[in-house]
Amino acid sequence: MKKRKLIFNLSIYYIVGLILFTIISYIIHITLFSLLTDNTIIPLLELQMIPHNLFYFLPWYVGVYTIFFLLIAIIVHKYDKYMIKKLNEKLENMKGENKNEQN
Amino acid sequence: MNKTKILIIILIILIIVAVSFGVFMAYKTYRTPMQVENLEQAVKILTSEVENENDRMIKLAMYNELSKSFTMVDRHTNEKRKFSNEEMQEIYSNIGGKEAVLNYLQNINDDEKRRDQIQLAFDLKIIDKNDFDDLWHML
Repeated sequence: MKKRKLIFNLSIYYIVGLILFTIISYIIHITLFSLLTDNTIIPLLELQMIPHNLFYFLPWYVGVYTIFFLLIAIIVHKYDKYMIKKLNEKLENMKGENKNEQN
Repeated sequence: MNKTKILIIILIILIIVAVSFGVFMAYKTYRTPMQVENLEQAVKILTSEVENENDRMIKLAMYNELSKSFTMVDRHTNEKRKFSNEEMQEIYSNIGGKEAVLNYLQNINDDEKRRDQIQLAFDLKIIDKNDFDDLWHML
């Protein structure tokens, strides 16, 4: 049950993050490209081009975001482990101190 | 560090990575080699003598597209042709450059033809919005 919830949460984080990442990257990408090519940004045309551009560039966005997501997941997991280890050590020390006090 | 702090840090990193990736993609798209149907024919068209003003505009548009990456790629065979700086300068002077097109657009007497040609030059991205406005209001 816990594993299922974890996978569900991770999937939600992945999808929300991917949408956020794609929106930010796409806006920067199109704006900078227009500036580099001295084109004015025509909002109506850009809106019409979104499906085509997304289809063309989506594999890049998904690929880079997936690598980023995996890296973050690994780092957070390692950090979690490190914190648990540290807390356990503290707990052991406290237990030891309590035993000494009792003696 | 609590959960909220970690989430905020991850969000900041996500935004930084997204912005950097957007910049990289813009540069990559800008530097994408020019795709042509037939490489040999495209090179031949680009390096041939200018026959008329329409031809000049089309060649200049091709040159402008090529000047982003200096590389042409055949869409079918994937054959590549890289142009050196000297070659590009030679092509540009052979075409006559943007100045020749501006000069031509300023000297068309027929108003309707002039409008069409200004619009064509703008559509081919030879002239920018400022040039377009200047030329259009000179009518």
